Amino acid sequence: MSADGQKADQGLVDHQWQAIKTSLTSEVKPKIQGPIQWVRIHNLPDHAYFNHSQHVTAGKVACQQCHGKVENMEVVKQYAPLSMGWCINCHRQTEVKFKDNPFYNDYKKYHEEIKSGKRSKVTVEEIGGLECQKCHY
Amino acid sequence: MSDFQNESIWVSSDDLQGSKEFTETLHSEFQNLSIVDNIGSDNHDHSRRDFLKYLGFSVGAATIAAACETPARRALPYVTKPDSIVPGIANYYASSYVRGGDYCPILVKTREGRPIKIEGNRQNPFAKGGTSARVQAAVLDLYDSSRFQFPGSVTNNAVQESDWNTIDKAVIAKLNSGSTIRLISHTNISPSTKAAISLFKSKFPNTEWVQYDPVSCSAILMANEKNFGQRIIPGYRFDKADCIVSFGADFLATWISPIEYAAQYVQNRQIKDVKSAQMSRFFMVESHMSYTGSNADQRILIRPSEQGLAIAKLYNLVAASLGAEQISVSGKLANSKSESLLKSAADNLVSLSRAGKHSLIVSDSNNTAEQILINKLNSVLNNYGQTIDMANISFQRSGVDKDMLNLLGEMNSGKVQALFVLGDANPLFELPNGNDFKAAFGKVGLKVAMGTSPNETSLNCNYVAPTHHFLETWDDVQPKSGFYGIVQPTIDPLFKTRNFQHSLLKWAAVEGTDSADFYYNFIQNQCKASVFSNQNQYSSFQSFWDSTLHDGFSIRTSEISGRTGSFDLSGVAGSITKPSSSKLELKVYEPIGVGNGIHSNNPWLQELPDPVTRVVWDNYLHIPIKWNEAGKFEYLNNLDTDGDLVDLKANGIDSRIPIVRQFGMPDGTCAIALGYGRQLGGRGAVGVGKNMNICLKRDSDGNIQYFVTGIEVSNKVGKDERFASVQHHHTLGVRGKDQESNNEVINVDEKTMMTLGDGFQGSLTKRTILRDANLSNLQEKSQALKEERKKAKHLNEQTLYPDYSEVYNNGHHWGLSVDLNGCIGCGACQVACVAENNVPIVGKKEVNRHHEMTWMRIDRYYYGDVENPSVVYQPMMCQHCDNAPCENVCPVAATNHSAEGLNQMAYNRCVGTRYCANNCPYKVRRFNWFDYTTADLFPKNENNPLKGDLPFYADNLTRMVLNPDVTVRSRGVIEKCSMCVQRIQEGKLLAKRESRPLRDGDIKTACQTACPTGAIIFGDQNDPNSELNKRWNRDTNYFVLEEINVRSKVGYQMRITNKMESEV
Repeated sequence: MSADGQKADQGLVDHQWQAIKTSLTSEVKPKIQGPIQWVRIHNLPDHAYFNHSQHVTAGKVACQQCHGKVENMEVVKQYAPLSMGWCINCHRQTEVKFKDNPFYNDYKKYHEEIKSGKRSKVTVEEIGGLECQKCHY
Repeated sequence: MSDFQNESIWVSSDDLQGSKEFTETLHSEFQNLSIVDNIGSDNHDHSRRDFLKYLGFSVGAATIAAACETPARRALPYVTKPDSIVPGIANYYASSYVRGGDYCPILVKTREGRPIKIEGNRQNPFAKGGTSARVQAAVLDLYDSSRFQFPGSVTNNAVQESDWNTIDKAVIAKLNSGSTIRLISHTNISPSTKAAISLFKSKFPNTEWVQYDPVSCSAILMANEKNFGQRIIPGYRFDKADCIVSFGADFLATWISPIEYAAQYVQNRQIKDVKSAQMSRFFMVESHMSYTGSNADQRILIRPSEQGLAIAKLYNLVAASLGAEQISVSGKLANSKSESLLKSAADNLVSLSRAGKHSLIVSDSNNTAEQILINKLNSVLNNYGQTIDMANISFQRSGVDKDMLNLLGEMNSGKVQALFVLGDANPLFELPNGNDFKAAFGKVGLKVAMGTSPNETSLNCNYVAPTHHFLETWDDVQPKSGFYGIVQPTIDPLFKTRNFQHSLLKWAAVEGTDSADFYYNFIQNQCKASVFSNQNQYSSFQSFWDSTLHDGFSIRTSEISGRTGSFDLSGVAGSITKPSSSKLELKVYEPIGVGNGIHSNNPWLQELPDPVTRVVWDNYLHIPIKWNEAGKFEYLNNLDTDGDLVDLKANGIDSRIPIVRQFGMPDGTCAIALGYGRQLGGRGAVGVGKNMNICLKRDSDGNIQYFVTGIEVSNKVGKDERFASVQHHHTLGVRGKDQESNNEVINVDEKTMMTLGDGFQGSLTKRTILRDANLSNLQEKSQALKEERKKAKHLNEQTLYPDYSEVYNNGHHWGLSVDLNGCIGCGACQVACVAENNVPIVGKKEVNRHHEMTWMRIDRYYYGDVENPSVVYQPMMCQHCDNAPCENVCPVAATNHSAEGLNQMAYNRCVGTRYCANNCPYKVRRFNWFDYTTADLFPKNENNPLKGDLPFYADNLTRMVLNPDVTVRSRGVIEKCSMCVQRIQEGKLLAKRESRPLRDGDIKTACQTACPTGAIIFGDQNDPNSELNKRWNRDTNYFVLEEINVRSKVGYQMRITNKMESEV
C-alpha cells in the first residue's frame, strides 16, 4: 500500500491501534509487552523452497498431515521429520486434484488416459514432483 | 584477404590470423587450473584494488557461532501486520529511475520491505517495459556501504559525523537574504525540484541554478535556440524513419534517451515474414566502433575532427539534389571510401524524400554550427513534424557548457558566497577543467554537497547534507512534455539522509519544513497545481493521485508536430570543425556501463563487459587494426597484444594505459572511454582506469569537444598482467589457422575438444553458430537455412538411442527465443540475470583468469569486410538441451533433466568434477573457484584464499540485494542458467491457486523483462499459440549447433541487415 493510502487511512489505523492497545494493556501492565517471541519448531532444511499455499490451497492438504494434531498438543512439537525422503515419499503417494483444477488441462496425455480408463489418478510424482528443481532453485 | 571475406565470422584479429598463442589459450577452458598454487602462494595477497574488487562495498563481517546442539531459533511476529506484506511474497511498486537526465519507468520488486530487483514498466509507452544495464544495476547502489550515511562536515576528504540540527544551524548562519548563492546540478527533470528551487530563489534572490550534463549536448540546445528560439531537445522518433543517419550519436547506448530510442529503433527492423520483409536503413558515420555503430547497416569511417566536414558534405549532396542552398566547404575525407559511401547515403535520403518518405539525421557533435547544419538537413528532408517532434520535446538534457564557464569566472572573482552541489553532480571530475573548479572552490565561503555518495566534488566541500537514494524517496519527473512520472519510496531511508529539496527549503525557512512529510506534501501540491489541473479524466485529486501512483505515470501527449525554424547558414561553413592534419587523433566516448563516472562505484556495471571490446574493470586505448597488402595485419607501433601498456600523451596530459586492438576504426584514430580514473569515492570506483575528462578541450562557444587531435602514443612500455577481457573466454566455434597442420583453417574450439582423441571431425568446422542475411538476399538465405536444418534433422535421426520426445509432449515444455535482429547487445539482460540469480561478482584478476561467473554472456562476432566489419551480438545462456551432453557425464547426477525440459542443477549434489562444463558445447557452465559470496557456513574451516579481504556480498548491507528465492552458491560447485526456474514455479503456482490454465506470457524470465527491444521471449513449446512457437516457426529461426543432436531449446532468429546491395 502506498504511503499516501496509509495517510488517508490514518484515522482508521489510529482507531484500530487504540483497540489493540486496550486489549494488550491493563492496570497491572500499563505498557505493551511487545510481541511474544515464537520458538521455531518446524525448521525446514536449508536450500529448499517450500510454499504453504501450494500444499494447502492447490493441494488441499490438511494442516495436521504435516504438523500433527496441534489442536491437542499441550506443548507443540515437531510431528514429521521434514526430511527430503519424507517429502519425496509423500509426493510419490499423493494424488493431485487433477480433474478439479483447470491448471492441469495442459497435461493432455493424462486426461486422455483417464478418459480411456487406462489411468485412475495422477500423483505428484507424475507431474514432476520428484524433480530437483521443484524445490531446489 | 579475400580468403576471409564475406563468409567468415570472427571474434578478434588473433582468431582471424590464427596465432599460436591464441590457439593455445583456447586449449583449456579454464585458465590457470592449478588452484593449489593460488591458495598457497602469497602472490594472491590481494590489494583491495585487485582480486575480487569489492567495490565501495565495505565490510561488516558476520560471524557464525558454532554450537554443539541445535540452537532454538526464535521469530518475532508483527504485533499488527501491515496488510501489504506477506512474508515470501514479492510486492511491486511503480516508480521511476532517475539519474540526472536519464530516466526509465520502472517497477521495483520488494521482498519483506527491501527492494531487490528493478523491472521495466510495460504499461508505460515511454520505453515499453525496456530497461538498460544501468537501470538494472541501480538497486545495488542503494546498498552501497560507501554512501553518505549521515550529515557532517568535511575535513581532509573525510566526513565527520554530525546531525541535521548542527548542519542546519551552520549553513543558516552563513546565509543572509543578500547572499550570492549558486546551485550546481546535472540536468534535473523533476517539476517539484524546479518549483522548490524557485521558492528558494524567492527567499535568496541572488541565487542562480546552473545545470550541466556529464556528457554534454550543449550544441544541440544552442542550435535549437538559434533556429527555433528555444533551448530544447526535440522528441526524436526513430520508429518513423525509413533511413537513419547518425554522426557519432550513440543513441542506443548513451545519447539522451537510449532506452526510449532503442525501443523505437527496433520497431521497423523486425522481420516476421521473409516474403514481405521491410526495414529501415541505418548509416553510422563515426570514428570508432561505437556500440550503436556496431548495430548499423553501414558504417562510414571518418576521423573525429572530420565530423563537421562529413556533415557538410552530406548536407551539400542532399541540398544539391533537392534544390536547397549550399555551403562552401573544401577538403576531402581521409578515407576515400567514406566519400563514396556518403554519396550513397545522400542518394538514399534524397530518393526517400522524393518518394514522400522520411528520414532522421542526428549527431553527437558538440559544435553549434554543425548542429545547425543537422537541423537544416532535417528541414530540407522534411523531417520536422515526422521524425522530429517539436510538440513533445525532451527535457533530459539541458546543460549549456558556457554556463559552467561563467560560474567558474564568478567563483574565481570571489563573488559566489555559497555553493550547493545537488545530487550526484561532480564537476571536479566530469568537466575538462575540473582542476580549475577545484582551485575556484577555495574562493567560495560555503560549499555544501547534497549528493548520495562521496566523490571528488563532495569531499572538497565544507559540509555534506546527503540526499536519499531514488528508491528511498518521493519525487516526480517530467522527462518529456506530456510525460509525468512519480518516484515513490520502496524502503525507509537506510541512513540519516534528507531530500536535498527539503534541506534547501529548510535553510530558506520555508513553512512546514519541520515536518518529515514536507517534500511529499510539496510534490502532491505541485501535482495538483500543474498536472491534475490539466486533465479531465478525474474529478477528485485523490483519485487522480492514486491512479497515477498506482501506474507510476500519467501521460497526456500531443500529436507530433513540426515547427518552422529560421536556418541561417551564413557563417556555418567557417564555424564547423576543421579537419586536423595531425597524425593521430583520439575519440573520447561515454561507455555504456559506468557512464562518465557516475556509475563507476557499481560492481555490476564494472563487470559488465563493454559490448564491443568485451573488456571489464578498466578503460583502454582502442587502436585501429590495419590490413596491409601482404595480407597481414598491421598495428600502430607494432602493438600486437591486447593489454600492452603504452604512454598516451593527449593535450599535454600523460597517462599509461593498456591497449586493445579494434576492428572498424579509421586510420590514425584511437579511442578511449570516459568515466574511469576516479580519485575519490567508493572502493569500486577509485583507481580503476585513467581519467580522460582532463584531456578535453572546448570550442569558441565553450562547448566541450569529445575528441583530441595531435595525440602521441608510445611503443609498448609494459604489460597489464591483469588485463581482463572476456573476448576469448568460453568461445564457441571460433575459426583459426592450425599452426600444427599447415595452417589449415579449423574450428579452434573443436581442436580443444579433440586434441586428446583421434583428431577432427572435419565436417563440423562449419557449425551452425551464427546465421545472417541481408534484406536483399533474405529469401535465398532463409531457403539455404531451411536446407541446412533439413540436413541436420536427417543426421540427427540416424541414432541408435530411443526417442524420448514423448515425455515432453505432456504438460509444459519450456523454451526461449532470441531474435538476433532485435538484439542490440546492450547487456541489460546480463545485469538483470546477475540481480535475479545472485550471480557473484569476481573482480578484475579473476576475470583475467577466465573465472567470471555470469550465467549469460553476449558473444560479439564480426563478419564481412575485415576493414569495416559488421557486428552481430549473440546472447548465450544454457540452452537446456533435451539431449544434454552435460547430464550424462555427471558422476553424481547433480545435473539432470526435468519433464518440462529444464536442465536442472542441484548445487548440493555437485561435487565439482567440472566434467559437465568440459562437455558443454555452448560453454555456459560456471564453476565457483572460490567462496565468492561467503555462502559456506563455516569459513574458519576453509583454507581462505581471500586472506581476510571479504568478497562482494559478504557484508550485510550488500547482502540485502540478494534474491531470497535463489540459493547463494558455495565454493566448489558448478552453476548456470536455470531459465529462471523460480519464476516458472511462481507463475505455475499462481495459476494453480487461481484454478486456471497457465497463460502464455504469465512467466517471464529476468532477461526477457530487462530487454529494451523485446528480443528475448520465454514460452511453452507445447502451446501451439505461444509467442515462442510463432517465433520458432519463422523462416529465419535456427538452433545453435543443431547438427550435433543435443536438441537445444533456445531458438535464434537470423541477424538481418539492410546494407546497400553494392556493399553486401
